[in-house]
Amino acid sequence: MRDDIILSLRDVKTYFPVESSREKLYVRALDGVSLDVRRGEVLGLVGESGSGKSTLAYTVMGINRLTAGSIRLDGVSLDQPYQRRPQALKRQLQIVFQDPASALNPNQTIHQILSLPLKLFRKDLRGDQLTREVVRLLEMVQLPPSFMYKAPGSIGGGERQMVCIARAMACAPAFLILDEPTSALDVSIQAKVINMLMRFRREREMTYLFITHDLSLMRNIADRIVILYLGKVCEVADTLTFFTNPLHPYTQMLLSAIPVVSEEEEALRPQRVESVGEIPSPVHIPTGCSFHLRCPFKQEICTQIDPVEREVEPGHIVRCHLCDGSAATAEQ
Amino acid sequence: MSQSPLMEVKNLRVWYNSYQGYAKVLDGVDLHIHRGEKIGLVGEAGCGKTTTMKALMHLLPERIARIPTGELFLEGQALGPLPEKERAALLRRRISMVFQEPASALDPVFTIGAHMVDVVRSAEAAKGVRLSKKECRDRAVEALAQVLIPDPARILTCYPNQLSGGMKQRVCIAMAVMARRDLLIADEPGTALDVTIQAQVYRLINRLHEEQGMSLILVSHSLGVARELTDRIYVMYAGTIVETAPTGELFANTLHPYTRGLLEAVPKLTGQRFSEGIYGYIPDYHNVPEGCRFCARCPQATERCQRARPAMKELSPGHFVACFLYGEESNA
Repeated sequence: MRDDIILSLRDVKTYFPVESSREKLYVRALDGVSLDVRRGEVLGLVGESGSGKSTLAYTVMGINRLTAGSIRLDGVSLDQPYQRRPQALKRQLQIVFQDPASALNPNQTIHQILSLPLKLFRKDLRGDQLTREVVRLLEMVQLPPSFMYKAPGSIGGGERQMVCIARAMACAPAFLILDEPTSALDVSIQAKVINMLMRFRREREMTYLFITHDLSLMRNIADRIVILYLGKVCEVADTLTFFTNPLHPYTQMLLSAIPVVSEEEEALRPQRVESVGEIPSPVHIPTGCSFHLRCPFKQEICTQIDPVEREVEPGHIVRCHLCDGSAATAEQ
Repeated sequence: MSQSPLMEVKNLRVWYNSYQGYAKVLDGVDLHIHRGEKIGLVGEAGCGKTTTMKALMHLLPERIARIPTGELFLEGQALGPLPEKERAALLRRRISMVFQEPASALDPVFTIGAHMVDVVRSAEAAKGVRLSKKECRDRAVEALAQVLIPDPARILTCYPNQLSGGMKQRVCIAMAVMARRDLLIADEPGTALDVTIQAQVYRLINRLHEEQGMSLILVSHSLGVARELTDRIYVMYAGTIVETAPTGELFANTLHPYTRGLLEAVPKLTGQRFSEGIYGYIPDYHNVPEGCRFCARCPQATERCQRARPAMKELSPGHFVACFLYGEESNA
C-alpha cells in the first residue's frame, strides 16, 4: 500500500507574518495538514475561500515557503522552495491556475506561451520541431493551429483555460494540481474542460489534486474528497462514502447549500444543517474546534479542545468531537 | 392575470457600436413580470442577460448603445413617449438593482454609512420628504439589521474594504431594499461568493420578498440557483429568449435543445454522468446567423433552422418555446 502513494504531506504548516501588528501575529493558512494522494486518483480538495486550498497548492508547488512539516513526491522531498528544486522534480509537478486571464502573459502569443515549457524541459527541440510540438499541444486540447499566432486577450475564457492546460501538459507531468480550473467558466464550457481533463488522466495515468468549491462536480469526477476548514482537514472519505454518509457538520453544511436541478438530487442533500456565519480570520483562529462558532451541534468540549483526526471506518477520517464518542452523537 | 404586469418589455433590440460595425446583441426580447412574482433569467455568459437588465434600468452606455426597437411598459403605461429624464427617474424610483460584484458596487472612499444615507435621502427626497441626518442613520441601521448584519452601528462607520464579500453583498441588498421599490433586479448576486454564503444571501432575498412583497428578477447562469429562488424562468440564448415556463414545468418538461444542453452539462449530486457540454461557442454578434441563433450549436438543427427564426409558441399553459421542433406541423 505504501508504494501507491505519490504525494504525501505530513503536518504541513504555512504561516504568513502579519506585518503591521505590534505583537508577532501570523496568518495560519495551513495549520498542520496531513494528507496522502494515491497514484492515479483524482483527489478533490474542497472548502470555502479562506480555508487554505490554494495555499496548499502553492506550498506543494514551492511558491509558498513551507513553515513546518514535510512534503514528498514519490519519496523525494519537496521541502525546498521552487527555485532550488531539481529540474526533474519540477517537471513531475505542474499546476493550472483558477483565473486563465491572469495566468497567461497578455503580451505574448500562444506560441510563445506554449514553447516556454518545451524549451525548458525538452532542450532537443529547435525551430520547426518546436512549432510542430506547439501545434500538437493545441490539437490535444482541440484548438486549431492558427491559435498559436493569437494573443490570450483575443480568445474566449474557455479557450484560455485550454491553453493553460496545454501549457501544464507540455512537459508530461505525473502530477497535476488543478486550482479551481473551471470556476470562472460556464457550465457547458466547464463540461468540455472537465471531460478533456478526465480523458488525459485515463490516457496518461496522471494524478490530479483537484481544488474546487463545487461538490456536485466532485461527485462526478473525484475518487476521494478532502474537506479543509481554516487550514485543517475536517473530513476525508472516498466519494461514495462522502456523499452517502457525511459526518462532519461542516461537510453537511456545504452539502446542504448546493443549488440542485432535480428532485432526485434534493433527496441526497442533508437538510438539517443550515448555512450560518462566515469563515473566521485565520489570524485569530477560535479556540477548541475552529468550526464551533458556526456549528449547530456544538458542545461544551468543542469550545475548549481541538478534536483530533480519527478514522471512523476504513479510509473515512473525521476531525470532530461528535463523531468520536467523547460527546453526544450527531444523530439527535 | 388580466391585470397588466408590473413591468413589460416588448421586442427589445440593443446594438452596440464597435469598430467592426454594430454588434446586434439583443434581438427581440419579450419579458414581463407580475407584481409579487419572482422570475429568473438564465443563460451562458455573454448571452445578453445583463444587457437586458441594463436596458430596463436605463443604464446602457449612451455613447455606444442603440435601441432600434423596444417598448417598455410600467403597469401598462408605455414609457416610450416620456421625455428621457423623466423616464430614467421613474424607473429608478420603482426598481433597484443588486450587482454581481459587491466589491465594485461600493465606492471604496466612502463609508457604508455614507452610501446608505445617500440612498435613503434620495429615496425620500423623491417623495418630497426631507429627513434629518439622525433619521437617515436610524433607517440605515434598521436596514442593516434586516439583512442580519451583526452590530449595524459599527458597520456604518466601516469602509467597504473592511468587510468580507458576503457582508458587502448584504449591504448592497440592504441598500436595494431600504428604498422599498416594487422591483428588485439581482444580477448574479451570489456568483462571487462561496456556496454557504450564497445560500445565506438567497435565503435573505427570499425572506425580503415574502416580507415586502416586492417582485424579483434574478439573473443567473446557474439553473440550480434559479430553480430554488424563482416561480418562472426565462432561458436566454445569444440575445433571444428561447424558452420560458413556470419553474417546476421547465425542469419537468424541458423542451428547447439549448435548455436541455445546459441542464445536461450541470454536474449532478446523483453522480449520473454529465454531457460533453454544448458544442461550439456563442455566435459573434457582429455576424449573427440569419435563422435561429442557436442553430450552429444545435444537435437537432435542420435546414429550415438556418433560414428562418422560430417564433415563440405556447405548448402548454405558460410554457413557451421558440423552436421548430415543436408546434403545429412537426410534433417530434
